[in-house]
Amino acid sequence: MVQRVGILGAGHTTFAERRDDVRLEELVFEAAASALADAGIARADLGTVVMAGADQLDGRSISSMMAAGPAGAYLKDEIRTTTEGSYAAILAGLRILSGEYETALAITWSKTSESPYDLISSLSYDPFFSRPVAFNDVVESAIVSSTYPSPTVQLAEAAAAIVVKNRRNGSANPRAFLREPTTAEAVLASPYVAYPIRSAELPPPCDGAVALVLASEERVLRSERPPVWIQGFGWGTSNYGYRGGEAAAGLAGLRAAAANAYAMAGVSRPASEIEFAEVFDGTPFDELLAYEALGLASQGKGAEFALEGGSAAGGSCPVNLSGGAQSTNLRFAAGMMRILEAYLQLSHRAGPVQLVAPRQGLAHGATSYPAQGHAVFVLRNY
Amino acid sequence: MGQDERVEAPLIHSGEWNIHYDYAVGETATRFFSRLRDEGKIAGKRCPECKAVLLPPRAYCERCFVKTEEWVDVGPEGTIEAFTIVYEPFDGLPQPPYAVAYVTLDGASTAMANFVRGLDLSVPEVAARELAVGKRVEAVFIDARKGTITDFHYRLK
Ligand SMILES: [Zn+2]
Repeated sequence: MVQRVGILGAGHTTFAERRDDVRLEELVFEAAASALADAGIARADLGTVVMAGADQLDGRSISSMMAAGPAGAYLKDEIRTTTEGSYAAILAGLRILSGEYETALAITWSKTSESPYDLISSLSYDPFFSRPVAFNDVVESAIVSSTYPSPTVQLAEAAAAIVVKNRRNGSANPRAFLREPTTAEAVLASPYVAYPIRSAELPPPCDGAVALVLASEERVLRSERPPVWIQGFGWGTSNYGYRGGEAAAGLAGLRAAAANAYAMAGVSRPASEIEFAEVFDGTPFDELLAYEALGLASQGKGAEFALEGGSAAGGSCPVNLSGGAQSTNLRFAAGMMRILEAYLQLSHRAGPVQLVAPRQGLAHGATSYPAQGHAVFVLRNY
Repeated sequence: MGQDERVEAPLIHSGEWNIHYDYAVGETATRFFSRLRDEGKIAGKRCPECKAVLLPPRAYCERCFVKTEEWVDVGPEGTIEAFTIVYEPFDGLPQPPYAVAYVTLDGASTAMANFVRGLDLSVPEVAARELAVGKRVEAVFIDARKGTITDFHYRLK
C-alpha cells in the first residue's frame, strides 16, 4: 500500500434526548460544518462525502437525498451506506486509499427520538423464522450474552462494573450526553429487561451526528496539526444465527474484523500494543465480550479483566475513557463516536479524559444485530 | 427590522408509513412449514460438502457455497445453545414475561429459536438456571397448526 489514511479533523453536534430544535438535515449540517472547521478546510476543497444512515430510523426513504447537501456534497461525489455509522469511515478510508480523493468527509447521524427504535430493530429479523419469535436488538443482545461461559454471579458483577466505569468516565467528559456516575448497587438492583440485561445497563438514547474528515498521507502531512493515522481497519460479518457449539459470545465477526485491522496495522500482540480502546457498549455485555474477541483480555478472562480494573482508567488498557455509548447512546452513530474519541486522545485534545502521551489505540463499531457485523480501527499518531 | 424575540416551542409534524409486504417463503421453507403443519415434523437440509444439517432449512450452505438437496428429520428433543427471558414490554413484541431459546435439535447442526413455554418465569435467577445453556428441551406441537414457526415451542425435559 503506497499511502495511509489519516484524520484531518472531527466534529459532532451537541447531544440531547431530543434535538427538536433542528430538522434532521440541520443536525447533519451542524456536524459536517463542525468537522470541516476543525479540519481547517473549505467545503469547496472537499474531495468526496460518505454518509451512513438508516432510512427506517430516519423515516425518509433515501435519507441521503435529504442529507447530501447539508453533509457538504452539493455537486460532489457522494455515496451512502446503510450499515452502522462507523462503516462510513471504512468506505471513506477506502476511497482515500483508491488515490482518487485527497479528502473525504465521513458522516453519520442518529435522531432516534423521531422513530420507534425497538420496533424498527425488530424489522432486521427474517420474517419467517425469527420475527414471529419476538426479536429486537435488546432481546438478541441478551441471547448472545447468555452464551458467555462465565459463572452467573461473576458475569453480572462484571457487567455492572463496566457500566459504573463508563458512567464515571463519561461524567468527566464534556462531550458526553449523560454525565452522571452510578453505582454497582444501583445497577444490580435495577430490574431485568431481558435476562441477563438490566434496565440500568441500557443507556438512554440521545440525538446527534458525528463527522470525520479523512485525508491522504500527503494531505495530512501538510496540516499544521500533528498527524493521527488510521493505521489499520477491518470489518467482518458472521453468519446469521448460530451453529451448535459455536457460542455466539465468541463474536466471530469481531474476531475477523480485528484480525484484518491488526494485520493491516502490523499489530501482533494487541494486549500490549493497544494502549486504549473505544469499544461498542450498547450494553455492558457487548463491551465485555469484545475484550476477548479483540485480544485485549486473554480467552475466558474477559469478566476478570473488567472486575480487576484492566479496562478502567489507569488499567492496562483503558476502555471507553470517553464514557462510551453508556454515556452517549447515539444508537446508529455509536461507532463513529468511538473513532472520534480515539482520534481526540491521539490528537491530545480529549480534554479532562486525556491520557498522558498515548501512541496507539483502537475504535470499534458494531451493527445493531449484536453478534453479526463489526468494524475495527487501529489509530496511531506516529 | 428588529430581531424577533419570541421563543416558540418547536413544532412536531407527525407522519406514518403503513406498508404491507407479501414475503415469498420459497420452495425450501414452504416444504418445511407444510411438513410442520401437516405432520408435526421438523426437518432440516444437509449440506453435501460439510454434512451440516441446516435448521432453519436453507437451499444452500453459506460456508461451502453449494446447494443443499437432502432433507433430514430432526428432534423432537434438543439442547439449549442460548436463551433470554424478557421481562419488559417492547413495541411489537408479546406481553412479558416470555422465554426465547436457540436450541440445537438432535440431528441438526444449527440452532433454531423459539419460545420456551411451561416454565415459571416469576423469579428471573431461578428461571434462568432452568434454561441454562446445555439444558435439554423437546419440541411441543400445538393442535391448530398454521404452517408458521410458532406451530411449535420448546418445553424443558
Ligand atoms: Zn456446508
